[in-house]
Amino acid sequence: MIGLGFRRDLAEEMIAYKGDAFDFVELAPENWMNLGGYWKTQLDQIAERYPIFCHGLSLSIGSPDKLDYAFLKELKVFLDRYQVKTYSEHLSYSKCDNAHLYDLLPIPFRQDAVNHIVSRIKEVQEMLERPLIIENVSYYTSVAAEMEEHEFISQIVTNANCKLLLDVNNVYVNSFNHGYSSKEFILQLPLNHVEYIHMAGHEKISDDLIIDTHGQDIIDPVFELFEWTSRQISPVPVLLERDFNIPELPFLEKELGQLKSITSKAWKKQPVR
Amino acid sequence: MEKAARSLNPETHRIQSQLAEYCKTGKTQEIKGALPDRLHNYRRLVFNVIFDIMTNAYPITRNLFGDRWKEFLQRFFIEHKCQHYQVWKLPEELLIWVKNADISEKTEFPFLTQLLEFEWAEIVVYNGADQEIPKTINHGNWRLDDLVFNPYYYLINLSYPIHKMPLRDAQKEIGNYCVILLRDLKKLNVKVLEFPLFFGTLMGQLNSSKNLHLAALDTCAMLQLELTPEIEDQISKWINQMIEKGFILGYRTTA
Repeated sequence: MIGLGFRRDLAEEMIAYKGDAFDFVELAPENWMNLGGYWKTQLDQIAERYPIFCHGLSLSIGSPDKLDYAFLKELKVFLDRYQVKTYSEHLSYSKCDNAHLYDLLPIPFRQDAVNHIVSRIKEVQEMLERPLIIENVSYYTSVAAEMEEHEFISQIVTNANCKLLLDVNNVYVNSFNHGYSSKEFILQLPLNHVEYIHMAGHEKISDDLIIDTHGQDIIDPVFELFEWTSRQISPVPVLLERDFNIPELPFLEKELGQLKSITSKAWKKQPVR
Repeated sequence: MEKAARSLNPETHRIQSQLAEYCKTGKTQEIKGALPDRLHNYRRLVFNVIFDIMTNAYPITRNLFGDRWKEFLQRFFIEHKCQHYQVWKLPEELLIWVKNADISEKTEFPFLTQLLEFEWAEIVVYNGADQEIPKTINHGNWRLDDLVFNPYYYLINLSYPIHKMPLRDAQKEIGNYCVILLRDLKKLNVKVLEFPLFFGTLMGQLNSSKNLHLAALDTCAMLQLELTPEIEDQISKWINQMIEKGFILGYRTTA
């Protein structure tokens, strides 16, 4: 299964689309919850045609603040209404000391943070009555780390017994920014927990720094890493994320086609999880 | 015991707070284990979100501020703790911040609060959650029967007519303007209607426990008028006009 991010700039085109380049759509629930009017009609139309996957922005699972229970309640209503089975979130924090920051800040790779997040994931899963899939995020500096990134992710995923959204582009970005092997990193993750994959483009802003923008085409080395990764794991849904500089749908069809071609070779005859 | 096991070490919490604070204020401080030359990327990325959402929500205000828009938003972001988990609702917090801090009075834009509210009203009306609308019929007696109003509207009293003329002209036309922003139920876009003072006051008097006739009596009392047959006739005509414009949907029916 290959999916495409449902963005407002693309909404009309995706609703009218007649081809088979994507099988599901993914959206950020926070951008669509409690909406009426024009955008609600767009959402309902796309939901009639495709399964909806949700990728959240505001859960802030790594925050020192309390979980936002009012948000979780509203989120559950939304997930139930659109029969969302796949709900994922970032392994980061975006709220701290009672202030939202609306971006993904790196959590210190520390044991107390692991324990804190594991208990929060369990609580969220219980409240939402569905599994939470946690995504490895890109980061530009680690902060007060006391363990390796792969250890941090692995401990959280295995101790919380949750699923992993493996963002292959984020692995590539981090391996470049922090000077490690992307393949070795992936092999150190609990790959049997991978439930979903994200693919996206990025922007190299200096000789030693890439920013994860979702605003460019996917580059060949990321496609190659994806191809290699797909041979290490069982079939899972794969999403193309494009949030900025969004081209016309026919252009994205090419990238979607490349993803489909890679997965059909790697996962010949294996059913998607 | 369980609570203690769940909580973060104070040091981890402090480090997370330091990073968040740096992203808000840009005030440099050493953050343990962080690469100082990379931290500014977080501040930039976080502020870009705020800048983009506010610029999209408030295009007229943004043009008004010109080069000072970024500085204005930076001040907001430093002074205010953003509360809403849905970023599209954040522009309302800018409006409230401007109102509470009397920012309008401290700028050369005395109409700033009204302009922000006018622009925010359009977003609220356009995006507001859908509601169940009661069944209606076209004919009835407004003195006795309940009218059904289009639920997607925002009533705003302006002293500057920013809804109908450029800002520089509006500053010279100070008055009392009752304006309603209304969702067109077919096209789903937002239109603006201006009411004479009487009908603006009448709308302000309407609520769930008061029908139009009672609201009309209260409005007349407020404006020191008598509800004469002439005024009643004006109200009837206004109702017909509002039905045409889609602000009044008709008379409630149980059929």
